Amino acid sequence: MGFAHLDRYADRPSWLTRRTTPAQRLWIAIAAAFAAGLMPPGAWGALVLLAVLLALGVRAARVPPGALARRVAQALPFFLLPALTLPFTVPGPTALEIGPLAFSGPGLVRAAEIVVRATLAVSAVSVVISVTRAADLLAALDGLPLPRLVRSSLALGYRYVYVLSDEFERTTRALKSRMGHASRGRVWRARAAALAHLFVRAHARGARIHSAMLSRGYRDHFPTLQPARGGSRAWSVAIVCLFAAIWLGGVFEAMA
Amino acid sequence: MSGASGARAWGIGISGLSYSYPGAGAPALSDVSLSLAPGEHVAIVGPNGAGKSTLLLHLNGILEPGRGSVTIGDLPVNHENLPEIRSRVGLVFQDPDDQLFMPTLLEDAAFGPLCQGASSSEAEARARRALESVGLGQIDARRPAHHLSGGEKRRAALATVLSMEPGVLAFDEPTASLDGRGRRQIAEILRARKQTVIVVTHDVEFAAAVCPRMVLLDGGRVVVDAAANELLSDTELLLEHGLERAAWLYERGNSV
Repeated sequence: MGFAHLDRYADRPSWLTRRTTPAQRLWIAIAAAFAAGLMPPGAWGALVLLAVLLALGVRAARVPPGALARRVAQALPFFLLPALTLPFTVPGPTALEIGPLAFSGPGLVRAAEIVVRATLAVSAVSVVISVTRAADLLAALDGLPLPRLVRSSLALGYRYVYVLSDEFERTTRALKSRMGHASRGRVWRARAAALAHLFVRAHARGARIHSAMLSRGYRDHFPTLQPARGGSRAWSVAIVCLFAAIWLGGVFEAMA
Repeated sequence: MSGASGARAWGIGISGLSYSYPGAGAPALSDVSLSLAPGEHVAIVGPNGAGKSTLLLHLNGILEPGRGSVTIGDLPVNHENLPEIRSRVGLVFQDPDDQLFMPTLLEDAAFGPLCQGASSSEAEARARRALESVGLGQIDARRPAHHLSGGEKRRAALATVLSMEPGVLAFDEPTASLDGRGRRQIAEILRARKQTVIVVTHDVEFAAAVCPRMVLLDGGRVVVDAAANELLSDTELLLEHGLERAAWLYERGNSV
């Protein structure tokens, strides 16, 4: 359950990090994710164009495709599960039969489309997160009209995911060290027990962190240093326009 | 320490302080009275559960007295005075991971000054001075705390309160989980402080190294308030209250 991989490529120099500010990268991620996510059904040409742009982006960011694939795979269950129901719920001629299961042709296409769109959206965000320090991303978020609470939660979440995962590993190790040659089932029960302990400990830690914040004068908002430099506004607008154009192209393609 | 060299040292007055945790049978503090002169360095020693940390939490109003009073300089610790009290008293918690809650060291060290109302540029300058003063000036201040060693985290936690330029520095177990070099570094930093310093610990040798005066607390009561060397030489008294010098522990171990 380690999270060391989150920072692995954050300091790696690349064409993308040299030429863009964190705020601009954030706009790339948001625009690409929206373009992929909102693409209408049947816009395969636009999706291919997005995929080509993403591949160029991965190369420009110097993120190893394997590492990117592992990150995307973590999000896969969230969009794979709803997509799996489509071959059975979308009406149309049966394209495939496996035993008692009949897969509708249009349903299979819709499911594939959703998986492709979601993979592109998650990949775009993952590339940007991979090559940008969390602190820079959070500073870039200050430029967006986000509620302060969301920004504070993300900042604390980033900091404490490491602390809590370390605690989880230590507790699991301590439990396993007392179990001898345990079956896989017992090991999983030990991990579940460690997770329960972690919940209690996280609650106690939360109270201590709050005390530490209060003792340094915290009252009702999370102060931060000046937001990071946003870079050229024209550049950000151009990025948003590029992805908006691809999306519009997809809309026309679907209508044709 | 340039970051806090201009800070005025405040005296501390604790009079008849009693406190019980909700639901606890015995009181955590019973009729504790202490007086610290401005600039004095005092160690509060005692076994686990003696009430040392509870006493510390009263200094900047994290806990409110059940009975009695606490004053910092001329100001009583109460709800109305909390912002000023928290500017006067810098509290360093036992676990640095509780204290270092921001995504980067720089933001952590700037958190206090920003809460005090400092501008971004002033807060950043004070944060950098504080990090410099604890020997962390050479490391990248935009690193997250989870990339630091235990000793570095401890010093970074100290920097987060030094940047607030408090007149009183209060430490809860500053040597917990530190190796020999880490203890020495913390001792050197504490000895150099011009502010009033109060150190809570069960490490009597460390306490004697940084504080000329030592207060023995047990069962929530002050047992002895004496010169550190005097208390350190009273073996029987220390043993009676669950404290031991490492050398004595070694000798006793050999004699068994």
